[in-house]
Amino acid sequence: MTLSESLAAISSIAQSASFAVPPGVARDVAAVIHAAAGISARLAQQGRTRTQIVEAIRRVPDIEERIAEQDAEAARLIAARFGEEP
Amino acid sequence: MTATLRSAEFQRKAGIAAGIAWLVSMAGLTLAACLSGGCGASALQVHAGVADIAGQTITASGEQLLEQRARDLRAAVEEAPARDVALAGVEAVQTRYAPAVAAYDALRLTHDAYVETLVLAAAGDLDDVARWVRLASRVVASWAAWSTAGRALGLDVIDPPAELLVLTSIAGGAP
Repeated sequence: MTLSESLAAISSIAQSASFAVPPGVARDVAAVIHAAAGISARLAQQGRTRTQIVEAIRRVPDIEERIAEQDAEAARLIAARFGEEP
Repeated sequence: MTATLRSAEFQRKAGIAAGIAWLVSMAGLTLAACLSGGCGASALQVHAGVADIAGQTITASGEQLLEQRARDLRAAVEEAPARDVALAGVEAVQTRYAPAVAAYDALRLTHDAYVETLVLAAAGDLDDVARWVRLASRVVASWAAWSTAGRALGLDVIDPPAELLVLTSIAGGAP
């Protein structure tokens, strides 16, 4: 979980708490935490560098090796079922 | 004076005042960040987000392809009464899946080229949005070929993410 996501989660929890508790200091504190964490989350996101932005992109893995493994497994299954090739 | 400082009402007001002061300072920081870097998402951020979603979706459909291929290979061996039949069955599965594997690989490479261009742009601090859109359009075109090949095998190939289609259609990117 990134800093931005953690702060967004804290903000969300604090918002729920501010709805749940009766009016008073606790509610005010929860409301302030909600707002502060929300702003901080936004700032944390703003602070990401261009390199961090592109490094977060998930690449598509090459399946060539797994295809080869599947073919080898099929050959093993044939050998196990019908015996080694004469 | 001490009694006033200890009163619950005073403490409550002090808490709120501290909170407001904190919020005002954070708002100032936000404004400063907006003025220096811009509040809206940059083109690079938008493309990176779309490339990430596309990458995840392509990977998921690749897993589907691998699972079904493995199942078909196993069935070709298990249902065969003799070695020759099993060998022929495995070869038939390999041949049947070859176009889809090739189409998937082409899509992977196209996506990789798109991501690599974004990575280079980030490193060099250069924005060439028109080029990114062209590459994104190529991903959409490769996706169409992969969809056709995958669906011919009965795979439920997911369509390109709406974000990717919007990005390429709004900017009018041509493959």
